[in-house]
Amino acid sequence: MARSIRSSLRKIGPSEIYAQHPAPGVDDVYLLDKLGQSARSKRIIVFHASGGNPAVYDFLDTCSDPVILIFHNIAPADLFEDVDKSRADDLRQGWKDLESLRSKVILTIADSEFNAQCLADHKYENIEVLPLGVEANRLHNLPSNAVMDYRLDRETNGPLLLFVGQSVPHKKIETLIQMQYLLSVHLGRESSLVLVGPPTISAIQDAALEQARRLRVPNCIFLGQIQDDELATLYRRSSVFVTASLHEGLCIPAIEAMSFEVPVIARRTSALSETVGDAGMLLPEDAGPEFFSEAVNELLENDSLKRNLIERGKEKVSHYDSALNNQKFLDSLSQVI
Amino acid sequence: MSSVSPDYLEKIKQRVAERREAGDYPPGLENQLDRHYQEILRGFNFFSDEDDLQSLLRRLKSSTAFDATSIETWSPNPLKRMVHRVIAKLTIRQTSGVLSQVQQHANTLNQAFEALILLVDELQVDGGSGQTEILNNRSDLDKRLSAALDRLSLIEAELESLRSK
Repeated sequence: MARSIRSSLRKIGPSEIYAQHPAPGVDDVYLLDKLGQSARSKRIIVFHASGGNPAVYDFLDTCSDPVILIFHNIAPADLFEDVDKSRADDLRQGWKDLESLRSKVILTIADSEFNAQCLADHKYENIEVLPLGVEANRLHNLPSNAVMDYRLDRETNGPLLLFVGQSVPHKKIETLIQMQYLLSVHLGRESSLVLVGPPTISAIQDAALEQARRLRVPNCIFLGQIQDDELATLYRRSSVFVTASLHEGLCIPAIEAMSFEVPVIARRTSALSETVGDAGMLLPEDAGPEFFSEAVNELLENDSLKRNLIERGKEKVSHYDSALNNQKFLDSLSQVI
Repeated sequence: MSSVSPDYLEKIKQRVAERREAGDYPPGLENQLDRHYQEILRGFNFFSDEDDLQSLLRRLKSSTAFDATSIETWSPNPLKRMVHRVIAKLTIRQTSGVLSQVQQHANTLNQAFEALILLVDELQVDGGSGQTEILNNRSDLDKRLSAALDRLSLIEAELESLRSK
């Protein structure tokens, strides 16, 4: 996402990416420390806000440069309280820091209507909604990963149910484990659940894995963080993309699933209502594993519903045109600089 | 394109209700599954062990993977970038040699820490209960000694009374 924005910005001038914790092996991103608090030439900081990070806000506070805010939302702190108190504190502080940053912001962009509303609730004005840098088809040209194909051939049975996301409390991955349990044990439906994503809070993933083990849930596979070609392989082979998340600022995996013609099941909550909308099965916010397992069952049995959702998904994905959105961004930028 | 009927929600709700009625979903099943998960989650005790030795060891292990590709060679200046990359290629043998020695040292350190932490854990468990046992034994001895002294005092008192007669 940041690289796509950098490419657009380089059309009008030099642009670099700085991060506090660049991922290992990434060689085109600088450490934030190298950015420096002052510069001889005029510069603008494009800041991606997606959580509480006191060190980054401290840095922004000391800089005199104007800021363009791209807001991806901040996870609800309450759900982290019992799991990781320091993270919960950081998330709460994140909202406060975001408010104090307001005076420096010359352009405010939210990547969904939901995120725009959240910003408005924190006294931001003139918010532009632009799903900037979202490349729905970014994985389409990748070849299938032979090892992943091999594993799926041998380790899974029945239709593949896919979840992609971090192991954090609000993603509720345990609901998906329980759903798979009900599908296999109570409904006798053969299916496989594949969970992809980094164990951001390892205890969340460990506990879900342990529950799957204790309940003897069959065909439940935790893959952790995987390569893009492996993910592309999974999307190609999935029958359903399912998430029980309680909070999403946009949900890029759902967009990617729709781009691969995989119907989505999610809760009608936060930005999911607009990202998925009528292109997926949106369940009540309080839906539990019984509801989820019936929804999966219905989608796997109802071909016309599945076809309809796939068609609507394709239409939905066409709104995420990164080239068009990047151009809109440059147009908005030219009005403020 | 025909519109997606929201009827599926009603259908799903009805099917859930039917299964509950038929006993496929026993009453309280969802609550029980959630409780089960919460109990497992509590068991991981991740909240308080932020600074305990095991988590420090985990953090140490996760930060001891050395790799030449993690060494930055990028620079915004294309000339500098090229120089960095050429140097990286020319010195790859030396870099790999150093990294391999550092990795070996880190692995040995990890093993040493692992053994030490295991020992500390054992001491905490065995030492703790052993000490309690010693305390219990001492307390038992004290009681016996007190009882013996009491009996001895009684005998002395009886002897004294016999002597006075």
